[in-house]
Amino acid sequence: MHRIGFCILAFICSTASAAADGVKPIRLETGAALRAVWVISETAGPVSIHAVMIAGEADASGPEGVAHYLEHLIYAHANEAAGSPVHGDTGNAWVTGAVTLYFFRGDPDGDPGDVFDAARRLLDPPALDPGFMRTERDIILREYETRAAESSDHRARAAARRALLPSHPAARRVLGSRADIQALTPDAAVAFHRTFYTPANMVLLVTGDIHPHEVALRVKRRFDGVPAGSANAQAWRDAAPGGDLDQKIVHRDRYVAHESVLVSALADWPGTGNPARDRTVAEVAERFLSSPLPGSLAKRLRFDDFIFSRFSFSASMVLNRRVEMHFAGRPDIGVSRDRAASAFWEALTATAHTGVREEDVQRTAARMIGEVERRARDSSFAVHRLIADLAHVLEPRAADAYIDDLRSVTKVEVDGFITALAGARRRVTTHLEKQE
Amino acid sequence: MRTSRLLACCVALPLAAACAHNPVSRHVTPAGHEFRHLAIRDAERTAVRFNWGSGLTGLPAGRETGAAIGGSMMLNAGTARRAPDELLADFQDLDASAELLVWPDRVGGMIVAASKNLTPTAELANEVLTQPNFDPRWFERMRGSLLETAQSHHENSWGIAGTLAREAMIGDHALKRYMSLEPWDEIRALTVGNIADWHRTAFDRSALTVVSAGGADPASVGRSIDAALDGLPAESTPPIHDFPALSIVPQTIVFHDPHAEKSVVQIFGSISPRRGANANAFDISIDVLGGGQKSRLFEAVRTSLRATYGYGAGFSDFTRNRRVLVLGGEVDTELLPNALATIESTYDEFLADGIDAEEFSIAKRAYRERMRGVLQTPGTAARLLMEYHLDGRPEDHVATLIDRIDALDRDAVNTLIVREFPPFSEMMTIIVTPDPSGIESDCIVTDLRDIPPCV
Repeated sequence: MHRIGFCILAFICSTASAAADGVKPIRLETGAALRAVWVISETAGPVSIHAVMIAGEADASGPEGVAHYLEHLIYAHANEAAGSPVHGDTGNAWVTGAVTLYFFRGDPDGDPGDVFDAARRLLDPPALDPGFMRTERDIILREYETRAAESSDHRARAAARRALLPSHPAARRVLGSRADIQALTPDAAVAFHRTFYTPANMVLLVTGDIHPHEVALRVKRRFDGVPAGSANAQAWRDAAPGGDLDQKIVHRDRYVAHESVLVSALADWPGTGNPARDRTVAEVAERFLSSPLPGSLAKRLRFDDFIFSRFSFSASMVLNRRVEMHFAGRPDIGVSRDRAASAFWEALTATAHTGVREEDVQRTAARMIGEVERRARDSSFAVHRLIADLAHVLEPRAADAYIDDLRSVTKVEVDGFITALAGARRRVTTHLEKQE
Repeated sequence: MRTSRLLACCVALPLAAACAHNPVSRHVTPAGHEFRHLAIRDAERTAVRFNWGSGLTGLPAGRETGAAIGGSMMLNAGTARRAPDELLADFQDLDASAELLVWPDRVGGMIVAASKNLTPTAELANEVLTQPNFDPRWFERMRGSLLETAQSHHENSWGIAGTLAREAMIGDHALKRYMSLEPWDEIRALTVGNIADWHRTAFDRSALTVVSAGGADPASVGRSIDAALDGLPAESTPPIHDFPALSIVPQTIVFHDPHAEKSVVQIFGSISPRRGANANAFDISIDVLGGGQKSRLFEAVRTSLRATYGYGAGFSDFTRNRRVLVLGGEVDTELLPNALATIESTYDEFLADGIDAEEFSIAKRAYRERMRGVLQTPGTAARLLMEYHLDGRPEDHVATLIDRIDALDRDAVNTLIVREFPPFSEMMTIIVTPDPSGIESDCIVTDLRDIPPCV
C-alpha cells in the first residue's frame, strides 16, 4: 500500500528532474521548404516564435539602412495577422549586417496559430498604406536620434569600419545616416524583400508550451507549397580588402563624454577548417583577453599597469578566414592616446609571444561552460545561442554540442588565434576628442 | 489501494502548493542577524541582499559624490588581502556576482551564486566590506571617470533635461548634488580620506536589513550571511535622513540649444512615495499609460502622430520616500507643439476615463507573467522581497503576489488612477530642443548656470 504512494511521489519527482535537465532544442522535419525549424518545448509559457531571415544590411545596396527600413515595414505588416496593432502579447525586430530577426510572443490565452500566421506573413511583400510607409522613415529618423545622434561611439565605430573595410558591404551601417534614411524608398525595401525573404532564407525557432509534433503540423499547414526561392549565399563574406593599412582617425564631436581610443583591426586567420570550432576558439580567446587572468589585456593594461581605466574588446568573424577586432578604451589620467594605443598592441603582442597558460584556457572555458549549464532551463538563452550561430552562418548547436566544443578548445588554438590578432595587417586607430 | 492513493494526494498537494506560492519564512542566523527567506523550488542559485540605511552619511556637505566613488572602489580596487584582478577572478571562478549600489538614503548590496558556492562568495564579499583597498591610484582613476561622466550630463539632451528637472524639484541639497554629480569643484577636491570616512559609517549594523531568495536551505543561507557580515562595525545611532519634499511647480521650462540633435520632452508629476498595498495597481496603471508598444502614449505619439520612436511613462524613485511620475521621450522637433498637445490630451483622457476592459486584461496578463518571472529568479525575487520588507508589508504579500494580481479588478485600478495620479495642470514640463518656436513656455534658458532664476 505504501509502495503506491511512493510511486506517485517518485513520478512527481522525476517530472521535476526532467524539467531541471534543461530545455533541449530539437530540429524538426516539417516538409516545408524553410531553411530550418527548431523547437524548444517548455512545460509552461506562451508559444512564441523567433523568425531569423538570413539577410541583413550587408546584402543591400543603395542608401544605407534598407534592411532596417524593411524590418520596420514587414514587422508592421506581419502584426496585422491577428488584426491587432501588436500581435499577441509583445514582439520586436532587429537587424544586423548578416541577419534580420523577428520576435512574436503569443497570447497565453489565445490560439498559438497566431504567431505562425505572423511568421508566415513575413514572406509576403508589405501591404501597407503608402502614407504609413513614407512616415515610417520619419520614425527611423527618430530612432537615429535616439541611438546615434548623440553617440560619438556609434559614429566613430562606423567610420573606423568604413576605413578598415573600404567599400565593403560588411561596413554598411544598419541605421545609416540622416541623409541615407531620407533617401530610403518603399520600392527599395520591397525589392530587398523580393530577393531575400524566401523560405530558403528563413529559420524558425519556436518556444513555449507546445509539442514538436504540433509545431510540425502548424508549420506545414502555413508554409507548405511556398516556393523555396534562392538561398542567400552571402558571397560578401569571402571578399576581403587586400593590402596593409595603418590609419589614424581623429574623431571630434561635442558628445564625446570620455576622451578615448578605438583600435580596429582586420587579421587573417585560416582557422581550423571547422567553422563551428573556429567560432568557439574565437569566443574563448575573446573571453580570456577581457578577463583578469594572467596574460590578458585587462591584466596587463588595467590591473598591472594603469594604461586604461576601462575598455571593451570584441573579436568576431564576420568575413571568412578573417577576424575583425575592436578595442575601445579610456586612457588613464596622464596617459596620452598615442601611448595608450601603442600599449594595447604591445600587450597583445606580448601575450602572443608568451602564449596563454594551459590552465587559464581551461579556466576560461570552464567559466563559459558553467554559464551554459546554469542557464540550461532558460529558453531565451538557448534561442540567443542558436541565433548567434545562425548569424555566423553556422548550423545551430544545442547546448551539449556547444559544451563539447568548449571543452575541447586547446591552448595551441587560442595561441594561434591571438598570434593572428597581434599580426593584423589592417589597423585603424581612432582618437575620440571632445569638441569644445 | 484507495486509501494509499488518497494519502499520496495529501502529501503531494502541499508540494505543488509550495511550488506555486514560493513561501517566505523568517530566520535568525547563528550570529543573531534576522532575515527573511523566499524559497524558490528548483532554483540552483541563491541571492542574499543587504540594505544599510546609510546612503551618503559620513561625507561633508558638497562632497556627497564621494559615496559613488567609494562604492566603485570597493567593487573594483581589490581588498587588503587580494589584488583587484584576483578578487574579480575569484568571483568569476565561483560563477558568482556581487553588486553594491549607493542611493542617497541607503546602500544596497547583493551576492548571487550557486547555492553550493554561497558561503565562499559571502567570504569574498566580507573582504570587500571590511577590508577595502582604497589605493590612491584607483581613487584617482575613479574620480577622473566620475568627473567626466558629470560633465557629460551637461552635454547631452537627456543629461541636460535631468539636471534641469532636479534643480527645479530639489534645489541645492545633498540629494540633488549626489544625483546630478555636482559640484564639479568638490569632486576635484575629494580625497581618499573622504572615501574612508564614508566607508566607516556606511556599513555599520544600524538599520541593516537582510533578505534572501533561492534554492539554498535557510540554515546555510544564515551561515553565509554571518560570513558576509563578520567584523562589520556594531550598531550605532541609525542615520536620520532629511530630504526635502519634491517641489513640482506647474510650469514649462525650455532649454534652448540651437545645436541640439533632437528634442526631449519630460513631464513630472507628484505621486505617492510608498506603493504599499497598491503596488500592483500602480504598476498596471503605468503600463497602460506608457509601458510599451500597446500603451496609450506610444499609440498616440508614435502610431498616430508619428512624432517619436518611443514615448512612455514610469515612476522615478529619488529615494524610497521621494518619488515622481515621469512622462518622457524624444519627439520630432518639427512636431513638438503637436506632440505636447497630444501628450496632454492623452494623459487627460487616461485620468478621465481610466483604462478599458481590453487593455486592463492585456496589461494584467503581461504584468502577471513579468512578476512570475521575477519570483522565479533569485536576484529579482530578493530585490522584491527587500522592497516589501522595507515597506513593512507582511511576508505573505510576496508569497501571495500572483494571487493578488489575479484578484485585482479594473475598478480598483481606475479608482487608484483618479485618486493618485496628478492632473496635467499640476505637472512640470522640461523641454530640451534646438527650436523652441511655437512652444508656450514659462522660461527659456540657454545655459545650465542660468537655471536658478528660472525656477
